[in-house]
Amino acid sequence: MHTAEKLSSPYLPEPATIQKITPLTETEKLFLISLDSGRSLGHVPGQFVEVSLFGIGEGPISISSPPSPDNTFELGIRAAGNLTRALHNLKVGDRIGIRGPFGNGFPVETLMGKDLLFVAGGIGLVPLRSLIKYSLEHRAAFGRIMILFGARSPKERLFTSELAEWAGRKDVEFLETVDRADDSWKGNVGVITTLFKKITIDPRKTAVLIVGPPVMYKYVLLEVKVKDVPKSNVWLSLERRMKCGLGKCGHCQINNYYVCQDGPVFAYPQIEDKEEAL
Amino acid sequence: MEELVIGKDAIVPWLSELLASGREVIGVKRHLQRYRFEQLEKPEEAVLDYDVTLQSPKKFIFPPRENLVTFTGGKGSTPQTETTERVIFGVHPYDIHAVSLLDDVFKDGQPDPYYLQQRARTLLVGVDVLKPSLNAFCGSMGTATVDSGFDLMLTPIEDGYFVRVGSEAGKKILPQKYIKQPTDAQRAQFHREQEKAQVRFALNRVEAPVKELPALLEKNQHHPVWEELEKRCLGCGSCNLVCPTCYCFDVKDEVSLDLSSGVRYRTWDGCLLKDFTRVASGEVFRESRANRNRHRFFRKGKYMIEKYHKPGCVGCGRCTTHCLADINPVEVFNAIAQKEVL
Repeated sequence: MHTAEKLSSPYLPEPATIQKITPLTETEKLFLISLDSGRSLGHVPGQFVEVSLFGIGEGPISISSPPSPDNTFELGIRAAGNLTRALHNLKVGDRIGIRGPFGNGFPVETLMGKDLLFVAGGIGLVPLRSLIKYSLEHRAAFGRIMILFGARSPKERLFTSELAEWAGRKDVEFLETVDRADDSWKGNVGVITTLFKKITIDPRKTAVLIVGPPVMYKYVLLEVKVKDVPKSNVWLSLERRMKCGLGKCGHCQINNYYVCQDGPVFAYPQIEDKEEAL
Repeated sequence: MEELVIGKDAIVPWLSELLASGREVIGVKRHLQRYRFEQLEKPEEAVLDYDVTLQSPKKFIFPPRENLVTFTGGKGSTPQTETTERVIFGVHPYDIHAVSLLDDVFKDGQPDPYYLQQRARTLLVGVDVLKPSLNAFCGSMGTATVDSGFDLMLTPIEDGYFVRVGSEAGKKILPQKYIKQPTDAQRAQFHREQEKAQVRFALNRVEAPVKELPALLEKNQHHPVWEELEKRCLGCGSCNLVCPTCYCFDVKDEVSLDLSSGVRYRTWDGCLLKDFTRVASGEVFRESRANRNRHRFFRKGKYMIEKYHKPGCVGCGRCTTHCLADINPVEVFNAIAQKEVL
């Protein structure tokens, strides 16, 4: 007795089309994607989608644009593995698959009225950009907006025209540094933690939002501690292998958390005692 | 719960009826010196007094490889999923506990239609353990007997089997002409057998009650036992492969020779394998075997218990049997429990 039937599957991606490709660096490109159904993705800053190319595979990619009423969104993608290298070979008009959005995103409501201190290390700017742009679109809803950005070298700086725009705005305090300078570089040199000495914050009303490579968090958290910011006002977005996005496949677990559902954004007190988090 | 009795001689004709009904009947067959769950061809093949099977019956509900999406020329669709009306005959209590846990996992949050569809068409006929396997410790995990999660549950008694009916569907597959109402003496014997089952596994004991394991593990994240496992474990993932409650999976694409059509499928994965946590940047988040072992034991003894209120380890002992380095959960839990006593 066999029964064959069509399932409604959470693993079936929805069709989407690449509308625009903007090179960011030698290894990163920004893709403007539209959902073919015309629906809005309906994401919160800090969430991610599963991007798929049939025949290659599927992987989690953070959403780089703020929420939008139309059916488009942006993904900043580094060519690092099979899937992302294949994505880099695509052209405008090519089709990809999308599932999501997944994860919790940043607690936007909680952040309202607070001073925001963004700390972005390298490619960490890609997910953080969604919230940065959101806060700039709703500028009056937030206090000070401070952005600290660190790249390994000048040529690895992402979104350079936006960095210049932020640096030029009077209502944004923008500081950046590179680990290693080249001849063209006139700015700060040193790891991202060196920027903390250059800012003064009110620890009682500042929310700190940190995204960067795994190695960066513990050093940034030491600086945040020096600034006396309560731990409950610190949020971090963590990278893991979010394979299914549905809290099932197990690859993204940090102790008992499934990063794809309970994260990727965590308040610091949620993870400070988690052996596997930082 | 309805209670009945069926004679020993009735098992073969009952299985014949089930086979004739067109259902797929999975039973325990002898294979060399071991036992395994396999499709029955003939009713006489079924073994009910086995010690343990190589794999749990999980593979018939959550197959080692399962197609999730089919695609042609960049267009995806859900595959025609074939599900089978199936009876799994002769499942031990610990494996029924394991299936109950998997049911919770796959129903939780976003339900998994692939699992749930096959599960809905699967009947579990359990049988109590007469011969415990060398490494089983289900007496310590509260899984030596079972009171729910089965469609029918058979307990060997003197002149046959005491039958507990767990579902209407289970009752329907009983061979009406072979079943009788139990006598008081048979009921009494059933209760004695259930008590005996608890002590049958006394050889392997975890020195802490299962409900205390979460707190015990929490306090022992840095216990020396993890470093000892770092030295012994080969990181081969055999424990994951034979575990009845492991359900982690990877998702992969397979392209046909036309280079345009293919399938996206899931396949069992294991947290003891180094690549399990590897991301595209090359970062591996559980690099050491100490951390990978700790994660496995914390899942079984803490996270699952806290989330689903059921033990994540059912004490079947299969991982011990298949571990090339003789890693035994009883020893691991006891290493921690004994430190607490001191």
